Amino acid sequence: MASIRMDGLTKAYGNLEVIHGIDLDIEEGEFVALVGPSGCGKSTMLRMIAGLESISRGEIAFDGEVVNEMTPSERGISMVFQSYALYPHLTVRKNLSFGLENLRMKRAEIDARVAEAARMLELDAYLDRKPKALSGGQRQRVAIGRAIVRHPKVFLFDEPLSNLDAKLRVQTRGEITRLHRQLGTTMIYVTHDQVEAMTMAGKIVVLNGGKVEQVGRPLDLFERPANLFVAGFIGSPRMNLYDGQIVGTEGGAARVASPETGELTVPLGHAASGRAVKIGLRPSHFAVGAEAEGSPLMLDVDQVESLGHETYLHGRLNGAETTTIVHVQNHLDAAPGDRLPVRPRAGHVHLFDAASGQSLGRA
Amino acid sequence: MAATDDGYVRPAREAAVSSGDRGDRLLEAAMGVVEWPFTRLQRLIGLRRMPWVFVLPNMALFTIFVFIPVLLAIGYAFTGGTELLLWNRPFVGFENFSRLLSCGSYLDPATCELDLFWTAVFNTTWYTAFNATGTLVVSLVTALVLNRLTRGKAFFRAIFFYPVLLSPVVVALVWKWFLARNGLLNAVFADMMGERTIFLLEVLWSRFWVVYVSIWFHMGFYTLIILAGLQAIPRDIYEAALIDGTSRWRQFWRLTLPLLMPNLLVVLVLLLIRSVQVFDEAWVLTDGGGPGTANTFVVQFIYETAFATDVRLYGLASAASVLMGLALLVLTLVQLWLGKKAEN
Ligand SMILES: Nc1ncnc2c1ncn2[C@@H]1O[C@H](COP(=O)(O)OP(=O)(O)OP(=O)(O)O)[C@@H](O)[C@H]1O
Ligand SMILES: [Mg+2]
Repeated sequence: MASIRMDGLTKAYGNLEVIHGIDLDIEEGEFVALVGPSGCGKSTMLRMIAGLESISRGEIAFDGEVVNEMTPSERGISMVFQSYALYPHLTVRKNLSFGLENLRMKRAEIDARVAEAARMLELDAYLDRKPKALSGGQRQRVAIGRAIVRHPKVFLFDEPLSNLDAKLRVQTRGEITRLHRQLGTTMIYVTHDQVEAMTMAGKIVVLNGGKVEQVGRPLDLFERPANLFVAGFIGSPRMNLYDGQIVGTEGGAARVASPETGELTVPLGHAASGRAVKIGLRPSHFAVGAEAEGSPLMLDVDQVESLGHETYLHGRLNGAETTTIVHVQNHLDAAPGDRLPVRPRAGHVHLFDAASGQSLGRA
Repeated sequence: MAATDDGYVRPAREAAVSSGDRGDRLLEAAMGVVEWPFTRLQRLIGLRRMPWVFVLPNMALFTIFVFIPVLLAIGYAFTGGTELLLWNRPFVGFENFSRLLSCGSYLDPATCELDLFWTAVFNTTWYTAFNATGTLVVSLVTALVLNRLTRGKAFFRAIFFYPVLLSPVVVALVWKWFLARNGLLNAVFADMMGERTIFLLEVLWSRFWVVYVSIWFHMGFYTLIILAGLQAIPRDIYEAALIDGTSRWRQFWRLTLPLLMPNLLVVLVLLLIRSVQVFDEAWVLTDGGGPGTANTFVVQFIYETAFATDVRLYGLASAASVLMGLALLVLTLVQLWLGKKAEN
C-alpha cells in the first residue's frame, strides 16, 4: 500500500506535450478512477506511474519517495493491461508464477501465492491451461491474478474491462471492487466509461486534453461539476445544456432565461446582469406530467424510450430547436407528439459561465 | 466482392477506380482483359471446378520437371551400365546402393569402395553442421539487433538482404578474387600477417571460407524470416515482463526464444535442406571442391559421376541422389515432429 503524489507531471513526445503539469494526491488504499475522452492522456499518465513511460518534467512520489528513476519492478506496482498481455506460451500457473520467480522467492511461497490468487479468482480449474484455451473473462481474471500474486503497493488498471461483453463487465466490475475491499491496496483505474468510474471509484479524476478538469468523489462530480466539460462528461444521458442570459439580480438571487427554460430564479450572489451563461439541467432532475401540473414549461415529445422500470423522453422545451432528454422513474404513458408539462427540480439548476465554462454554482 | 446471378464472384473494382491512380487503372484494364475468358470458362464448367483451372498449369510444370524426374531417378538407381535411355539399361537391383554403402568402417572414407562418395558425405555433414548453426546464430543476432533499432531499420534490413539477390556464381567469383593470393584480403593484411596466405588452397581456411561466404550470402533471407517472427510478438508482454521484474537475459530465454520457435524451426528446416544441397557457390569458389577433396560435397559427387566423367554412371549417381533425398526426408520429418512436440 502506498500513497502517491504527482507534482507538475508532464509528458512530451518531442515538441508535442500531451500531459500538461498534473498535480494530484492519491491516498493510501484509495480507489481512484482516471476518466476522460479518448486521447486525453489517461494511459500515458498511468504508464508514467507504472514506469513504462519516462517522465518529461515533474515528479511522482510513492509514500513521499520520488520514483521517477525507478524501474517498474522497483516501484512495486502491478498492472493489468487492456490486452491482458498474458504470456501466450505459458500455462496459467506459469503466468502467475513468472514474476515471483524473478524475485528468487522460495518455491513453497510461490505455490502458496499462486494458490491464494487462484482461489480468490476461481482459477483453480484452469491452472494448467494456456491462455488461448480460455475465454475472454477467464483471461481477464488471469491478468488480475498475475497482478495480485506480487502483493503490490499499487494496482494499475488500463481499461481492463473494455474487451468483455456487457454482462461480464458488470460482474468483473463487482469482482474488482470486492478485491479492493479485501486487499485494501491503492488502485488506479483508467477508463473512458464514466459509469465504471462512478460505480467503482472512491475518487474520480476527470482528464481532458492532458489536464485535470476536476477531482472529487463520484457524487460530488455529479452534483457539483466544476465546469461544462465535467458536466457533460459525468452522468448518462448527459446533462441538457442551454444558452441563456442573466436578466436580472435581486438580493442574492438572479433571474436567468433561455428560450428553452423560460425564466428561472436561482440564488446567486455575484452575477452581473446581461452575462451570457449556460444553463444545465440533468435529465433526471425534471418533474413531469401530473407532478408538474401548472408549470408553464411544456415538452413536445419526439421519441419515447421505455425500459419498463424507467422512461426516457426525447423532445423539445418550449418549442425550441435544442433536443432535451428527460428521465422518468417508473413507466410513463407517453407517445411522440404528446405535449407534457415539465418543471426543473429546485436546487438542481446548474449555471456555467458561457465564456470560460466554469461553474457559477448550482441552485 | 459481389456474387452475381451466375455465381461468378467479381473483384471489387470500385476502390481501384475511385483512387484514380494510373497504375490502378492499368491494372483495372488488364484485369478486364483477363477476366473475360475466365468468366466464360466458369459459366461453362461451374464454380466448383474453377480451382482446378488455376492449379493445373503449375501442377503440369511440377509434374514434368519435378515429379517425373524424381520417379525416373528412382528408376535409374536400380539400373546399371552407361546407356542413357532407361529402357536400354539393365536392371541391377540394389547393386548401386550396396556399392555406395560398402565400407570397411563408416568412420573412415578410405575404407569404402567409393571413397569419394564418403568423403563427400563427411564434408557435407560438417558443412551442414557449421553452416546451419552459423547462419542460424548470425541471422538470429542480426534480427534481434535490427528489431531493437528505432531508426534505419528498413535501410539495414535491405543491406543485409541485398546479397540474396545476387547470383551464386557472381558471389563466388567476387569472394574468390577477394581471397586470392593477390586478392584484397591479402593486400590489406599482408604486412600484419607477415606473409600472404592462399586461403583457398589450405584445407581449414578453405572450409572456413566456404561456410563464411555461404553465411554472408544467405543470412539476409533468414534474418528477414526471424525479424518477421520478432515483430509478431506482442510488445505488451515485454511490458508485463518489465513490471514482473524480468531480466533481459530471462526475457530472451523465457519469452522471445519460445515465441520465436515456430519461425526458428522453419529457418532450421530450410537451412538443413539447403546445406545438404550445397553445390554451386562452393564449387565455383573452390575450383571444383578443392583443395584436393576438402570441399567436395554430395551434389558435386552426383554431378560428376553422372555428367562430368568419361564413364557416365547414371545409375550410381541416381542412387546417391535417392539416398540424399531420403536423408533430407528423415531430417524434415524429425524437425516437424520436434515442432509438434514443442507446441504442446
Ligand atoms: N508515442 C507517441 N508519440 C506521440 N504522441 C503520442 C504517443 N503516444 C501517445 N501519444 C498521444 O498522447 C495522447 C494521449 O494518449 P493516451 O494513449 O494516453 O490516451 P488515452 O486517454 O489513453 O486514450 P484512449 O482512451 O483512447 O486509450 C494522444 O493524443 C496520443 O496521440
Ligand atoms: Mg488508453
